[in-house]
Amino acid sequence: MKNGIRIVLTILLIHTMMVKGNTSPPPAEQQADFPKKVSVILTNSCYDCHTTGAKAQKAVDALDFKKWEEYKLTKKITLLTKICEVVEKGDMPPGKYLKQHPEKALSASDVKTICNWTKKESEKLIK
Amino acid sequence: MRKRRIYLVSVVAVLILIQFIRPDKNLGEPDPETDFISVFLVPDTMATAFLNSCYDCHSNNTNYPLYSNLAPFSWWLNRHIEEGKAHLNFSSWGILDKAQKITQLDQICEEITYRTMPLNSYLWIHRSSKLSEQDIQAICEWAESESLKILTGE
Repeated sequence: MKNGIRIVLTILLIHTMMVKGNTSPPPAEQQADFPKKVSVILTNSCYDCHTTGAKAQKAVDALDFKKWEEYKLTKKITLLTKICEVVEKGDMPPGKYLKQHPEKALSASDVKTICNWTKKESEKLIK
Repeated sequence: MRKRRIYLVSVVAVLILIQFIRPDKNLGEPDPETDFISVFLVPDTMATAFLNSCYDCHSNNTNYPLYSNLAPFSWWLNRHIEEGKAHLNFSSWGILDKAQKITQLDQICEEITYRTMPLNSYLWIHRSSKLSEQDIQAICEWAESESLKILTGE
């Protein structure tokens, strides 16, 4: 009898664990679906400051890649235009930041990749 | 005493000499085909605000104050106009593509909302160019609706 209870309890316990293991993790914050090549560049050179939770509040307010999908269409177009502009001019990433993290600098081909993407993306949004 | 006189004379001489370096005036022919206000048929009250608060540095036509003929003020003014036009030139609005127009409309609202524009140094001399809260709200609402129209191709 006692053994029976033990077995039932064990089965229940295992079952709970399995169920827990099976439940999908809480939905991650909606991440924008950028092309892989672009995503790699952005992750390396931009996300440190331009994602929710980053220390630089001003940077997050200006552009938050984690909230990309929440932006209005017109805002997305504005941000896309600005992204290309600031990387082309070399205003971003900021020189101060690059001094400490030289590996985050964008190469000329990175800049090209970004600007090609921003232009295509905003054309898509406008049509 | 003599030293002082030489000093004074040379300062005056420099001041006179620099007057000969005159930057070109920003006085182009207005073109209704590309001008922001005519392209959009901007409502009158708002058009006045744009003309009065933005066009001096953001168009091909500056309404020059008297002191603008005097170097070094003329140089300083000229630099502001060149910089302003590089960012946004209302006179050539028509040549912007759709994405650029949407971006500029968004930026106009942002700049005036945070009062980074008009520049403080400009408002110091042009006191009547300060935008009221109502101006700002009206411009932002209008800019947003125009921007949506561009987006949807209306």
